[in-house]
Amino acid sequence: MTTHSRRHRVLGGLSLAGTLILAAACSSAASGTGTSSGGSVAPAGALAKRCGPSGSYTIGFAQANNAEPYRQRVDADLQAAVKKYPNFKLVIADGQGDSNKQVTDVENFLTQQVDLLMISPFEAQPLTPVVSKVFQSRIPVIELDRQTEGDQYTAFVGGDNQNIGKQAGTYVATRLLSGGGEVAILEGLPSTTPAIQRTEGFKQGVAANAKIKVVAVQPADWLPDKAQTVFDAMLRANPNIKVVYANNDLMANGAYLALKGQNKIGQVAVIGTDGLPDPAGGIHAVLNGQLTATLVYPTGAGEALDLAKRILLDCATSVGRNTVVPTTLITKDNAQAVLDRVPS
Amino acid sequence: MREDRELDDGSGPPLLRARGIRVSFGGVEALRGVDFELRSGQIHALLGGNGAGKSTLMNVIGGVITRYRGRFELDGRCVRFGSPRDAQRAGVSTVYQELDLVPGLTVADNLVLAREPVGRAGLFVRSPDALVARPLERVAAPCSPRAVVGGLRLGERQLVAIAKALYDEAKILILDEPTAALTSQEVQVLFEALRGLREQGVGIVFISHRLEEIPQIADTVTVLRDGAVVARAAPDTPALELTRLLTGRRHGQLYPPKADPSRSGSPGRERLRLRGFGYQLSRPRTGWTEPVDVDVTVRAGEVVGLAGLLGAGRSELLEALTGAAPRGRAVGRVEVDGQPLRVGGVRRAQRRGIGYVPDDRHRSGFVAQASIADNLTMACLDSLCTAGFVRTRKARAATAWAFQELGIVAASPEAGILSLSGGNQQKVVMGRALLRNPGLLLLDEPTRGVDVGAKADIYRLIRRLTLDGLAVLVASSELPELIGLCDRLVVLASGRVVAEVPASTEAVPTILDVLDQPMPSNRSLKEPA
Amino acid sequence: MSIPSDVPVGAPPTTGAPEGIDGEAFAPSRGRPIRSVAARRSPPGLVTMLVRFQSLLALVLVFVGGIVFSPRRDGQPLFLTTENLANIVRSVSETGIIAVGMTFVIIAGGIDLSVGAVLGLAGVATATLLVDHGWDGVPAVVAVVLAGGLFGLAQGAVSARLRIQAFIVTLAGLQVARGLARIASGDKFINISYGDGPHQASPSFAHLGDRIFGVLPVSALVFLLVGAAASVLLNTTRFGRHVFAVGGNERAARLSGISVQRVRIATFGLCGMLAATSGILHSGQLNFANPNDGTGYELTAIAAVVIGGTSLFGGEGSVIGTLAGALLLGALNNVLQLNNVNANLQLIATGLIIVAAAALQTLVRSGSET
Repeated sequence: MTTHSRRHRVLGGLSLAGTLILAAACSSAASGTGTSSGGSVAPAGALAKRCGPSGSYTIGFAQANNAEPYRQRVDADLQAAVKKYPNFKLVIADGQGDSNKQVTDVENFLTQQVDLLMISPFEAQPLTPVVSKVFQSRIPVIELDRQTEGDQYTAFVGGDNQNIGKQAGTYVATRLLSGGGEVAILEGLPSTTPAIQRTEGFKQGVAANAKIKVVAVQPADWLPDKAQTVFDAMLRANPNIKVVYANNDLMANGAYLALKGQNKIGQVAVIGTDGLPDPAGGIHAVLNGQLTATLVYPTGAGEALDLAKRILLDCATSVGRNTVVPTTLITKDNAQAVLDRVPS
Repeated sequence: MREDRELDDGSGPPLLRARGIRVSFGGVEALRGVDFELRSGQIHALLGGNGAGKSTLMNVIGGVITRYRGRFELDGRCVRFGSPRDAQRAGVSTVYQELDLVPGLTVADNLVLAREPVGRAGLFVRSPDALVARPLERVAAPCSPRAVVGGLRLGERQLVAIAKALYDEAKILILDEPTAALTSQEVQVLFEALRGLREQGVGIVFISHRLEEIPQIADTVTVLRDGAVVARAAPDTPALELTRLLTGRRHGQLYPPKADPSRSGSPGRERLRLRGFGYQLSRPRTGWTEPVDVDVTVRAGEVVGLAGLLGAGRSELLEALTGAAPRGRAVGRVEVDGQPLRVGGVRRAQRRGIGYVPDDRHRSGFVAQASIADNLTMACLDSLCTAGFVRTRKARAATAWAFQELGIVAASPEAGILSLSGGNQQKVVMGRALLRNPGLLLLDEPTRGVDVGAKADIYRLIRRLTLDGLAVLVASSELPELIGLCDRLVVLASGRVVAEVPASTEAVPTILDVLDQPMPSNRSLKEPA
Repeated sequence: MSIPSDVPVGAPPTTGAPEGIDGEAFAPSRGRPIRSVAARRSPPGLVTMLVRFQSLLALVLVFVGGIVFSPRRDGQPLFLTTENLANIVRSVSETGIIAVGMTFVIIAGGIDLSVGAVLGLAGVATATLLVDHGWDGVPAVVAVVLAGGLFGLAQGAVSARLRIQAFIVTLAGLQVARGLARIASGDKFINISYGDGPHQASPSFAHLGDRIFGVLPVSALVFLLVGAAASVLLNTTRFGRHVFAVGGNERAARLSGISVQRVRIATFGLCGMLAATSGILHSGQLNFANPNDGTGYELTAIAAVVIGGTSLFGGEGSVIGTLAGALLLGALNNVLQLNNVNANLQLIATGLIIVAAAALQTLVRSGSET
């Protein structure tokens, strides 16, 4: 009998907790939804259905995957930048690294009739139809970092992965290894666009120096622990590797750990990509000397919100279709300066 | 000390006194006002058939059953246990048939399980070996405290389990059929240990099926039947008299009249014929007695009983015949209705008209989550289906037939089988076998955990089915049941047939005599004599 | 079934006669009944009903909550718009179809962890057949569904014959399927574009991304149809009864003459087929195949099954419950998203619902036994 009533209480507690969450959700909903108000019907030719400096607007951002550090940085930058625009309310949906889920997220934004959609599509093709649908219902679409197929969006803001890879390659070819030597590449998850483009670009960059030889290319799926294992093996197979280029900083860190394990720190240069300013990010790693260099992959948050402002507040009739945010090569020389410029 | 006082004074307050204990489960009275007394330094044998209330009384004393009416006194003080742990703290320990030992731990670790000696940091600070030396000594356990329990023989495990009960300084020890799985040698070692404990003033409740053990070990005997005490007897009461007490006067009412050979004239044709039948497991298991060189014939219209002690191979013989046994190789000849049967496959046996009702209905009989109707029709779905779809009307008719034929009492065929009493559950499992219209029915312990009313129903049903030509081979650990139900008994020991006698009370001394023979262990028996 | 020929057949019973049954199917009544009891049907208890339909009830609750708390436009709750409801069904259709197959496996006492990877593999296989090998839509679909079934059967057979727990075999199957998918795709995404040219897929396949009457997505329709067919299979066929028996008490099932191994293997085959179906819909909806897709779907599917009242111990459960469980998860996430609730809170809410569903089952089960 006693266990029985205890179970009742546990169950009661659970349902209570559930109710509380729902209630919390809904009270935030009461104050949070349907806030798009004011503004006037857009003038003919404007990109937005409803625009003007006095209205308040909801911007839905369909993030591909909140679990990645880079994407968390994008969220944080957007949330920081949106504070400059009191008329904007930013809502972030987490696609959880699943196109299916992200399609649902976009559908829900459509149901809610957000005023502007921002999206980092997890995969291009799967998201294309639903993004087109949003675009055709005259909701402006700003794509961040990754593009969908075709032209059914308003604007794209992002870095150029191929170019970033190429700059890394050029840096190696002209500065680090101008005398030539062996180079290894740690790739991201196979079949992901940034992994393909960055690797391709890097190969183009080092091709400028005929004395450089790429001796090993292996995927480490963006993961530091896997990179450590993979690079450890690479290094044993090719003891003359002078430079390792990793498609992201996490894998570069893994490579550093592998070097540490073989007491080869300083003998092999490690180059990463992303250059996040967080304490665990690539810029600090360069300052600490763990990485020789990294290339910033910009979030483009400020640029994207600037576009949103022109579309929604200024009733722009056209905006630049492609905004490529330039990358920066971070080395020991400029790392501190770059960090100082990051708004806290 | 207490021990001295009570040893000296046999007339003082008993160690344990129960007065008017009543327990009922869902309307069925399992105990109807039982009085029971246990004295310090006494071995008190508790006898009773299945469903007589032995386990219930044991569970009340051991604190497992807490909802009972009546009065309990321990050392003259009134007590009421809320849990087995309560009882243990008060000095009452129970050793169940299924020993609660962890096979992967050592003897010492098992003894101190859940009371491990720990230091302030919560870590082991002392080896338990020293702590367990005394309890192991008290039962004269011949094993090291460092031995892993899984590697011990059954007899040694039994002693370890008793030592574990003693670890808490138990004053009262309840032993549930401690000898059921032991060889006669091991039984003697156990008895020596129990006598030692008696010297030390421990009161022991000794539950057993083996009547021949009673005069060897017991100081007094209490016989339970149908939830009531029917006799308190001296330990030297003859086995025949004990059997009569266990069966009671209900004998005539409980069992249907037997087949009258003079009336039916010639015996029925042979349904089952075993000649030199044996079954060897591919991977031998301890506790699974392989049938060896078995000759048995069962005719249409006949009920043949398989008697023998636990471990004699009764269930194993039925399992081997019906294909329920673990993988193995059959030797000898099996004929069903005159045609040879290749043993080893439930479906093959079914197709030859063999129905089987296993002994442990919870483990092998029914699907606990399923309804009564689904349990009944489980084995005959082929005949109820068209193109793989179950025909509701056919299934309902089959269920209704079984309800009526077996007299199943239930709220609804759609009710869960766990809502039924043990007797009705057993009827459902039997009904499943009967729905396939078998010509030969193999029953293993058909009335285990079944109330008297359902027992009578089942006995009458079996007898009635034989009138229509069914042949029945039934295994049971209850000699009275076999004598009351069967026409003929085949007595097994260590997998072999040791006697074949008519099923009558007059045969009891013969059977007991056969079974009382000191028996070598199973292993040594397989070697050529 | 052969019946011994000389069983005397008694007079037909007067009441409760098994009329309309093949006479030889079971023993006719012999003599007088011991006690006559009508095999009547009485309604199951309220508590039992509550548990049997717990997920449906919870679904209704979430729906009511969705309507009440839904943001409104022009006075209409957005939650209730046809489009939104269709979106909910579509959003759970892939994991839902997998969950239906998982229901059979779990009721039979197994588990299948490979389904997400099989979805990825099936998606890649479909895309490869259509794009690189120029297959037409229908044969490609049939081939991939059958291949998924074979993969499931193989896992079931390994588990049954080698006596390895399903958990381990399908854990291995997950890795194998993921590896095969990556090999088949050449570690690349496969875009599916339609047309008659080389490396273009047959336009017939494009219909999987359609919406019927412009409203109901094809994948949602397939999900509902699969659910209905599976419910019939589980409740009205011999196979369904066997699945329950095998999961409820393997030994009793075996002694009743049920081929336990065959039933178990068949559930894995069914589950594999449905996972492949899901993979086909996945690639059809997204016009795209990624060998890494479907990661974690097995857990979402198991969650739907558990919320639907199916016991992980086997022996009990229902397809209807699973459908409701899947829809409940979809509806709940939809309500929370429409209200812009933090995505992480949505995860917590899902977790609480799983525990509540399991707790309710335990509560009622212990109640019915005492």
